[in-house]
Amino acid sequence: MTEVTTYVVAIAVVYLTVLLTIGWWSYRKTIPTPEDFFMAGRAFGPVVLTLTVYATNMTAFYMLGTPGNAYRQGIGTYGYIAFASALVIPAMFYLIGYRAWLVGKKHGYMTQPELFGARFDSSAVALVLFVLLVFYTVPYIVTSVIGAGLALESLTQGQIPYLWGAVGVLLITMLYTAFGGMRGTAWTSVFQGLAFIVIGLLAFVMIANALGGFEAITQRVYAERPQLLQREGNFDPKDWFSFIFIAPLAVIAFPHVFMRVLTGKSHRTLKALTVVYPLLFLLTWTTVIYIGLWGSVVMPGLDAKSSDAILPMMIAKFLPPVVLGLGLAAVWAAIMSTLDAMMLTLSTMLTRDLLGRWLPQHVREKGREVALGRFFIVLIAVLALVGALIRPGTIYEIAKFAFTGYALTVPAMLAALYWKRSTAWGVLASLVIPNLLLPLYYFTPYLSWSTFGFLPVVPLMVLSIVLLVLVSLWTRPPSAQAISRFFDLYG
Amino acid sequence: MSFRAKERIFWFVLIVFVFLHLDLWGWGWIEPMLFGWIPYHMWYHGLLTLLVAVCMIWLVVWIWPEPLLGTSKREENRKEKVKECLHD
Repeated sequence: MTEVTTYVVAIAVVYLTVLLTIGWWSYRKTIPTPEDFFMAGRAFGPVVLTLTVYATNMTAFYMLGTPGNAYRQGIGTYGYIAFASALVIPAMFYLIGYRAWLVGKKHGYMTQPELFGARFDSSAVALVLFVLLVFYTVPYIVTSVIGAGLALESLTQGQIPYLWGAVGVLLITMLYTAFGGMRGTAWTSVFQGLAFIVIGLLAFVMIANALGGFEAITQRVYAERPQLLQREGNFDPKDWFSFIFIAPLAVIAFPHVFMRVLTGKSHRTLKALTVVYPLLFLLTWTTVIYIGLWGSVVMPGLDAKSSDAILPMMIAKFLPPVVLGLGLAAVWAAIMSTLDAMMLTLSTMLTRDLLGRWLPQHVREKGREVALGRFFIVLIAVLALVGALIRPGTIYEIAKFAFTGYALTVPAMLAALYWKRSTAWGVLASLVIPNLLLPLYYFTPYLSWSTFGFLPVVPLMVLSIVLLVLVSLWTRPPSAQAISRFFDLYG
Repeated sequence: MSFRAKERIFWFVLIVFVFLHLDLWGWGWIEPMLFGWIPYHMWYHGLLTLLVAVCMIWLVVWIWPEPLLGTSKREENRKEKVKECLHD
């Protein structure tokens, strides 16, 4: 084992031990009720909620995909992904998050299928939402496991194989999630969020210094690859506009983010989250984008797939071995904080939305629902491992498909919370038809004529809204009681 | 000014941000480069991000309504259950 590998392994062991300790502490604090295991008693304050939601939002797409994109398409990556997210996501916390939090707090809802199914008095709405969210979350979990394995492999320069990293991260995440529940995943996310923010800033400064300073290396990019410092030729304006509707809009629909927003102690925690979110994007995305940009002149000639590993490659090349281990910790932190949240959310939905409807009373008694939730976490981990072994596509391809699917559930969520006249049939039409057409847009050329140069999310979003309005107006609205259960809270 | 009017102004400002984000006029610009390492796109969108944060402060301080939540039956039941578990 080389010196580099020894440092990487030592820091990885320390890092994973800290996570397991937090998981064990959370297990000791958790009361075996569904409300406490799945939602941590809805008692998170502003700091914990902000860091846990942000860390949950950041994943392999941010740590690996974004610097890779900056390497290929330049500095415009900031506006394309980060600014669009900084603008739309906080607005969605207010528009959707706040009203959902109010209803969840009052009536005890934990998941989107549970909450929106109740809004329309409809098991069909709950079931369709459940199927769609599981369908898009499972591949997203697989991207996290793939990212964890790739990071360890590239930082140890192939000395530790991909599979070891993937299995190790999955096993540790499964353990602290199954034992610690929401409290465990939230507090580990706080630690992980701080880890990737601080280590990211440290790597940014140290790599710049190693390359002669911020000005010297950026001027080198200006001299050798000036096109990477502008957007013209790297981005298409229609694609630029369309992207606002994909990742930024999808975030509030991520079941793992939505569920966390409901754990806020008071509306003040949501307010803090809304204000701090844009600043966190500016603080963290700038660093990884610049590292990817500098990589384009320091390590030129990488193909699209290899450039996804530019961040760990730059860390491996320019940072001393001891900091290298911290680099791995930062990448894993971003990945694991999302992976644990997705595993817990899927387990909650399987326990409450699918089996919960048919569970006999004795299973719902104290502790049994929680035991079932823990069993599902183990099952999801096994399925994710199988997916990571198959590796169905690149991280970016899988994530983009899943993000579009999530974003297409947003019109239904908005209608449920704002439009009293919206109906179960309208919501079903707006969810089912666009989501059935989505694979046709992504995997076949048959419908490409209807995009007019935009990304598929634009025509599909228009279709979703039109179907929602027309079908709702033609069908009978839900009972006045179901409507007042929600709208009386909004004032 | 009513809540609805303030909220409408907020959404209008957000749409203005979308137009500023598209800034088709500056797609080919690199200069002016601040401090020799922050090109036009980065400082322009960085500045917009700070303005969005200011806009969110405006939202939470002056627009965001106070919740009308009372203590529900469910909340009481939950507290009872937690007490029971703690005594087990």
